[in-house]
Amino acid sequence: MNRRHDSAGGFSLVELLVGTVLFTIITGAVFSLLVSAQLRYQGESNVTETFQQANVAIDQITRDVHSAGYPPKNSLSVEAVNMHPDTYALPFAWAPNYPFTPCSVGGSCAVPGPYDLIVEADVGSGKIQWIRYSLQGRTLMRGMAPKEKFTDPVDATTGSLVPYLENVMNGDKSKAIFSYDPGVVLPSDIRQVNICLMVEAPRPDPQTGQYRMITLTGQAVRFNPNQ
Amino acid sequence: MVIAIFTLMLISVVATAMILMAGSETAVKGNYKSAMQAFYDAKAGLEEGRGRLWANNPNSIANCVFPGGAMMPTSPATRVCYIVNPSSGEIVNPLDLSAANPYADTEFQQEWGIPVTDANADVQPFINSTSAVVGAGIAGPLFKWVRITPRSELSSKIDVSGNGQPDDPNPLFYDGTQQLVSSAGTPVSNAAQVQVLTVTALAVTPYGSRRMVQYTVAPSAFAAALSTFPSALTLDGNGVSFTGPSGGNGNGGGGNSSTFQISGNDLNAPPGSPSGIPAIGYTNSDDYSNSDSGLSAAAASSNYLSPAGVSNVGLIPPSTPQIPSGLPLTLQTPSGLDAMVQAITLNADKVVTGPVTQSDSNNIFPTGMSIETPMITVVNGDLTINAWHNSGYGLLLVTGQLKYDPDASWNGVILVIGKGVFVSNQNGTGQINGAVFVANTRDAAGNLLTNLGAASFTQTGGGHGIRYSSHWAKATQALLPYQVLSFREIAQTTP
Repeated sequence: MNRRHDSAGGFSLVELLVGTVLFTIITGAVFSLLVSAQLRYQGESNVTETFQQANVAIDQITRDVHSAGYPPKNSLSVEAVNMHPDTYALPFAWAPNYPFTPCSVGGSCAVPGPYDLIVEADVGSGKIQWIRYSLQGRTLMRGMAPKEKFTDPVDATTGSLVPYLENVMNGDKSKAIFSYDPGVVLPSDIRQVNICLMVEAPRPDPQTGQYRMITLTGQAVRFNPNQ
Repeated sequence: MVIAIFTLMLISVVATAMILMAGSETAVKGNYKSAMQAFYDAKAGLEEGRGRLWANNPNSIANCVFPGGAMMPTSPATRVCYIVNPSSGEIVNPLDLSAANPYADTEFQQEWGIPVTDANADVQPFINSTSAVVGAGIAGPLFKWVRITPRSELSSKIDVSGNGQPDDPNPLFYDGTQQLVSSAGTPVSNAAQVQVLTVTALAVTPYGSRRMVQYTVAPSAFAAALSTFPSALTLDGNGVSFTGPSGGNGNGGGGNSSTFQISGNDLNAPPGSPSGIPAIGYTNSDDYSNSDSGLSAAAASSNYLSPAGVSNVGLIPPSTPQIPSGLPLTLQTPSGLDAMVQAITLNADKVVTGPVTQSDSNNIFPTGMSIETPMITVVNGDLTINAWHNSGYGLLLVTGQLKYDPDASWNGVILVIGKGVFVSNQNGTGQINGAVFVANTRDAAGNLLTNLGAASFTQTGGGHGIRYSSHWAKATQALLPYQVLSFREIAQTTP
């Protein structure tokens, strides 16, 4: 009996099966890795987006605190100060009792407080503005209203508040967004505002199904001197 | 084969997407970093401008800002000094207002209503930045220019006078508490005022981030408050007391009074034109009528001198528009004086915690202090100067008790603000050329008083006393750099 040996005859069935199995295993591994990487990437993008939004918020708060108190009382004559108290800026407005007896920071002050801050500054409009940041639920709100004498800054800014940063978890975690110089008593003496934003990603992590949270901290210094 | 190619394509597409997204995130973070860098570069520019306004700065630009030592001209518009800081091979010309120039100074027109190229702007030749340390290979911050101008209602858009119209082009002055509109550059209501300037800086980073920031500055609170000293020895407060050597005012405790003198005659007055101030000044008229204060006894003594027509022991009333030479507001309250103490301490060459003793064998004063280089020394607490056979130069601020042995001399100003006690009961031939100011602002526990307390000056031993010197008073005031009155950022859009 003659057995025909043909070296150019191609693969045997066994070789083909082994090749196919190997290819399937390798391709499966590659795709598995890809899917895993993709999920990881989606998760990280989620966090990065949250980080960027918190970063922008901290940057804006920092800029506002930098300009807090501009123009100060010493920019005017005493006569102008007495006649037009709305034409100079205190660094920070307070509640209750504004503009009368200042409250005590960390004590009787509702504002400035751990979740509420009102900066007074002319940020380019030629008029003093109250710029307020207030945590309401899980949303950090921001609003601006012109400073007017005999007007309460909380009441004046409440209507102008718009959502500025969502999913802020500081309230849930009982962690202050704003904290101030140690030992400071009067709102006008605040020189540095420590900012801590704990923000949860808007979507759950695709791999774990859990909502991830980032914590971003910063410090904003008031450059306008004490008055 | 087809499956393999398909797989490779899929992998490539996903990888490319990842690279692109990672790249965009890097760019976002880069932009943020660049914006922050621009802010701090611009702030560095402000600090260079502020620092070089100071006459004692080795690279002072005072001659540009104040030609011939005069105030900044302001009519009809302004005078502009620029510090420019180009990168290597770059041209920075804020006067080129073309749209293609990223460093054009268009902000000037916003402030003054005329382009900076207008002849009335009176732009001076550019001054180069000194921020880079070339020898050490240290590059400076990337600000592009710093502009220094006078400040007015018009330029600041602030209704300083309160008349409802922020449009007055006359320069503003600062009296330590408030800004006031001058009359064509002449202070209108108080002689103790200094001119207010605006310092503006633009920074642009290589990534194109732009930040512009602005300071309002004025000579130091000390200079503003004491641009003219009210008296050679000022006892500021309520219930003050003065005790001189026996024979000086008759209430002293002995010692050699033959050479002791407190004189308000200016040592630096031109020959033949005597001028000066009271030898001893007090601020509460009740203290003079209280014989325990020693003031009325001093007034009757020939040891306390002043120019003709000026009381040798005189009441220093609060400054008002009618009495411009009175005591500035800053010096009338414990809080005002305390703010001045803080400002001086921030700029001191040396701060020492008391109690300390200065003697021949124990030097607490800053190294390098000399007649050519007067310095600022602050002692937080008590200072005893004992058996120091030398001279000090500059500003000495003591917040506790100052015990002075007149073996030593001092050329400059001595401030005893806080405990407010000056004591000297030893003999010597030392003399204070300049002025002495004593105020009690804190109680024994160190708490700030509501009203000024009982400052006291006692020199019962010997020494030559105090001679008012306008030269040393001014030289001391010049030791303090310009202070920042306000700060703001000016929003920028990419041109």
